[in-house]
Amino acid sequence: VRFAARRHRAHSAVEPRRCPRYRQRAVARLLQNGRARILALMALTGALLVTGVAVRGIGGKLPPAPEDLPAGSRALSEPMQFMLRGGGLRMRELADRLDPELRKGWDACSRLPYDLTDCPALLTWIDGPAGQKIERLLADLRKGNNDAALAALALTVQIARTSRWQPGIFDGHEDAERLGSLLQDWLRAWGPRSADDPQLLEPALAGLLLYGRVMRTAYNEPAIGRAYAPYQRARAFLDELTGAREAQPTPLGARLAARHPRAWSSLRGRGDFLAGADEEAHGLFPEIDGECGG
Amino acid sequence: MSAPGLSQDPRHPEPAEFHLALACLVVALGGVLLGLQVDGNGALVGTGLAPFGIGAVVALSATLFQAVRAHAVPRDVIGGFSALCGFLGIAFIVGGVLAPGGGWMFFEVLIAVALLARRHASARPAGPDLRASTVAVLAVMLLFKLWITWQGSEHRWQVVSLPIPILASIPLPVLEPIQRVSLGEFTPQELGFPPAGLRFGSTLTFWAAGFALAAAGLLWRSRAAVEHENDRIHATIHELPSGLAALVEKLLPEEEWVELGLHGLSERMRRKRIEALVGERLRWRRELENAFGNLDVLALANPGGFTGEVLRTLQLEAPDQTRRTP
Repeated sequence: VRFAARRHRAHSAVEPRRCPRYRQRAVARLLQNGRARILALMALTGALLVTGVAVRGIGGKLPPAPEDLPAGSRALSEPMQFMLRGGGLRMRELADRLDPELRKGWDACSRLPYDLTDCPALLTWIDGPAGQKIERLLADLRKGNNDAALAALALTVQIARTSRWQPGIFDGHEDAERLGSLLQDWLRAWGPRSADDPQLLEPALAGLLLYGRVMRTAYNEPAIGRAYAPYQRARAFLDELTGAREAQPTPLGARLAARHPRAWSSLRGRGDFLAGADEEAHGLFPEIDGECGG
Repeated sequence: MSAPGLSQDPRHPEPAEFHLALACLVVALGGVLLGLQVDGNGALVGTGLAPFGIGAVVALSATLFQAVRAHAVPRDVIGGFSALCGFLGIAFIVGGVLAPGGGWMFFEVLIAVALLARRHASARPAGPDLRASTVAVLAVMLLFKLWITWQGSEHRWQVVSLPIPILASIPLPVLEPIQRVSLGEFTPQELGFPPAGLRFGSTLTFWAAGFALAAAGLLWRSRAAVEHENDRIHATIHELPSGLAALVEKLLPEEEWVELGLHGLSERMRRKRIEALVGERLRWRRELENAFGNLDVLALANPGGFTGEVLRTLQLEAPDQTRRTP
């Protein structure tokens, strides 16, 4: 009996210390102690003061750009070359990467924009047989993978290069608006996805700048005043695509802000919000002036 | 576990000690928020040690100026800790509101030193002190910093860009470079921007909340430090027997303790000072009573005018033994 009583006493002396409720009571007793409370507050404050100094030393760093990350063996090198004047030289490379279903249409139509030599008005050409074929091909390519998307954008930029969409003094702005619609369709489908795609990021930003240039031409066309339909269409679309008027930009908007700050700052402004994109597109595609470089 | 300077009764510490500790906690929280900004990737980035260093220099200057005037030194653990918090709080808040670069930063430093070197006439807490009017000026500096930070976050690298009348209205692209004049240009390096740019909205929230907390904490600390000193003096007086303590408190009312130089003294010096002040007050009272006793009011009967008014006041307010009937 004595042994059992001793064991019970030992057990009751040790067991409460392991019990969570005992620990809670001990902490509560400590916090009821005024001096301990002040010391705890002082310790917490001291830790925060040290943190307050230490956080000032946290350095920022740029995340690696998507195109700088290690790429797979199938990655296309220098995808921007497909957008520029010499893009036609590498079209065979793109063709080999397309799905067989798309390949037939591609082989039949992909050379059409490159073979344009007489600088037709865009609206006239796109509504003709060749233009309609190209428009269908572009729609099919936009539904494919990122290789097909790159091919679609390259063809659209080539159309902008070899057709006439610059309004004359008395002409309307429909050509520019139609070209803007082609670019807008591509940007709507692939713009958000291209923000983290090493193959599509630079071409997409270039396409966005060109879209800005074309739509600015469309809404600035009237000799007096402004064409409000293309202006408001571009405003609404770019706000959605880039988050320029949101508290936080979209990933594509953030890339645009980092790489083309002039275009971004004017996009966030009021009034002539595409002036910056126009300037940057002029530097990127000096030959795309709506008059086939003439 | 016992820390010198904390209340002797562990269960009932003086409320001022709690206030001091809580005020310091609020200051420290504000300091953490003032040291952070949100970059373009949404990551937390520090505002840099250089602004904090400049803030520390300003806080040091203010501490030295104020210490020379007030001769108040922290005399216990909580007082010393609160003085340290006051110093760091001012370093945080000044570092947080200064324009991080450019010529105007030095101008702001001069203003901050001039403002912080002043102190309350009636309150002398140990450590650097902050006045409400100084907080208002610092808030204006914070607004200026927020303005140029917003300009920078929008890739506009000047304080303000003004259109030149007439010239700005000519719609010619070739005239664009001369259509506006930029005032106060700066660079991203001067603003201390992170490499990935700045998210202005989130950063504004951090800085505004940090400033509010740090400023409120510093003001609270000033008041609590005065109360804490009063608690210490009160404790010293109440070491006397209760009747005597009440008499000493009548002779030396609490409202006059700051002016009588009782704050910031060591235990021994405070006792000596109380002894001296009690003696001085009693001597003064005795001299006053003697003066009443020797005053020949009858010789000045019915003088009228200003003298008559003074005499009437003396008859009403003077001690009984000195009051005489004319």
